Amino acid sequence: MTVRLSRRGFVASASAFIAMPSIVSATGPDQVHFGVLHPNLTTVIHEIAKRTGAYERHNLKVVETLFKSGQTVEGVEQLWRGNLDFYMGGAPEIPRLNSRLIESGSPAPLAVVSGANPGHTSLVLSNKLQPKSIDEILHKPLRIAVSSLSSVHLAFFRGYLLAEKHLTTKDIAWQFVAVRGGDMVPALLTGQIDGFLHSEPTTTLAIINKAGHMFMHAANGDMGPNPPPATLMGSRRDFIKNKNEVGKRFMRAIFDANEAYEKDPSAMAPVIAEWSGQDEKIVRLAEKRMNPVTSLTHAQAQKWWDFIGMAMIERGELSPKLRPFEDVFDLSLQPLGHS
Amino acid sequence: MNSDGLLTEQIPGAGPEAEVLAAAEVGSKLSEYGRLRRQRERRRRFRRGAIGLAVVLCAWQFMAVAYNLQQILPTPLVVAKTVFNALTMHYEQRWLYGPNIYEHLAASFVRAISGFAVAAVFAIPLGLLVGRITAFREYVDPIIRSLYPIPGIAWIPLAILWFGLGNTAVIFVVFIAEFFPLYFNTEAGARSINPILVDAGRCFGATRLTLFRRVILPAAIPYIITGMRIALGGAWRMIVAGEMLASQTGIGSVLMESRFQFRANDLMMAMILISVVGFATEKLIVGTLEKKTTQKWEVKVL
Repeated sequence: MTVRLSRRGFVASASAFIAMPSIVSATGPDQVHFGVLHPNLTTVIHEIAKRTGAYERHNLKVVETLFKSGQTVEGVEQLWRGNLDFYMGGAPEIPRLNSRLIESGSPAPLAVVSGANPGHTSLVLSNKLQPKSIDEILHKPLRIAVSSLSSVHLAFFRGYLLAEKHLTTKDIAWQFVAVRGGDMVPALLTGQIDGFLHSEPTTTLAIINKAGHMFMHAANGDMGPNPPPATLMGSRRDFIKNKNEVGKRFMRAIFDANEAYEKDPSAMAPVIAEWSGQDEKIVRLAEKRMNPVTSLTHAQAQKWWDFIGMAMIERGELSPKLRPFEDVFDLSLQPLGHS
Repeated sequence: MNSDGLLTEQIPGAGPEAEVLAAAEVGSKLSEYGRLRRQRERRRRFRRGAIGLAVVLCAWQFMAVAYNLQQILPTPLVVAKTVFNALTMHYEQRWLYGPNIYEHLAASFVRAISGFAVAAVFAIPLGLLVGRITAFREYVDPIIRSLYPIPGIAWIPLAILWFGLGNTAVIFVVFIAEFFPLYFNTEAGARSINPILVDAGRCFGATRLTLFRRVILPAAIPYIITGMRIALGGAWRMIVAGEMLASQTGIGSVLMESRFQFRANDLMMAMILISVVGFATEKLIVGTLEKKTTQKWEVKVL
């Protein structure tokens, strides 16, 4: 028996064959390119989302790009260039990049869409220094390490000085020296620095190695009430506009991971240990000073702006033209009822 | 016709003095011709260099504007303005890099020169010894050659560990980066001396010291100068890497911070200043040494 194919039938079959991949992909998961700092304690929510199948549940295929600690600039640049849809890491780089573009007359290309680890900044001092209050040491010529002069922890400390003490870093006698997070504890142990401004696990490592003591921790309210998030998640405004539904699903997956973490934080210690490359014992000690739950309310965003943003404007890092809810934050991806 | 039967041009009132004067005149015309020729060559070199530079600047301006790349590739005019503003300390944007640019440049310059001086003190005598004494070479050369492939930047973490944060660590990595080109060039210079020159010196009764001073050192000088030229270039490359990781001052730290601030114009300003200061340092130090040695002694690499 011979099967005769009409011209119309041939055209229809050929069109179906050509269209097949896009039909298949339309029903498959949506791809999201996510850049994260790794190994790092602050971005563990992504690993929890992976482990708990949160992305799959929301029909997402997340392609991760890992950035080492200190590479947030690279991550934000990749986000800006369109190679990533989301980036999670340090914080001040996104407003900084938007500020440069606004200064040149272009619209802000990026937006902060979520955040984590409120008050993750610690001021650790050498054991030789045991002041009763910070006022005792502000005018001593201390060498305080920060991961860079643009670090989020220094930005946070500047915010604290400005909001609580009405001072800038120029008014105090401290010298801020750039030391990578991993080198801070050895530098403190060998007396090369008098303290550091950083987050976990550096604080815990300094304490258990008896290199120093935690003098201030922002989450405890030592640097003002209701500290803003230290880790921010950013996205591109064109992605938020064009793929809003995908973005919302991604954020819901992150919220699922939040729930999984909040249900039993201590059960997540092995996951955090593996993701951060730290010993589980250290993670368990550090856990009390971290909160990887990733979300952002309007009030938190406003706090970030009033505390860190204003200090960055005061220093000249951000343009005064920058408007917080038009040029920096976009909370439209946050699940309804959250923001 | 003279006594040899050759026709000679008779100059009125000619005598030996007139011939000398004529020769002097020819000589002066020749030297004038040479001067003019050198001047023309200089002008030609300048013209060609200026044309090359103008082409690069035009292409740069075109790329930045046509492809709307000003955020990552500021135009030459913007960069020139940023350099001018930094040098006059009249900033349009807030200066976020601590001390003014002169203090940063001075800090980098001191580190580069210190590293260079220490490297020269060690590498040149060692290179001369290794190049001239076979037994010494057999002991020392394998060690140095095995250290050579380690990139300068790989020494930075160790330098921080050994010397802590600050000047010494940066000077150490600069020293490491400068040592090898100086050593290898000096050693090659010392090895390539024509043995006839050394034997001739010995025949004339030259002592070891005289031989070293009058034969070996002048013959090795072109190689040493080349080594210095390469080493100083390497010093500026390494100083930027060192200052990015282990220092709060210096042009490398300005470069790093401007990247954190996404200020491409400041980044390029720092790069241009490194290039200018590096070029000037090379001209000042190596150029002066070259004039005082190679050109004075008229030694050339054959």
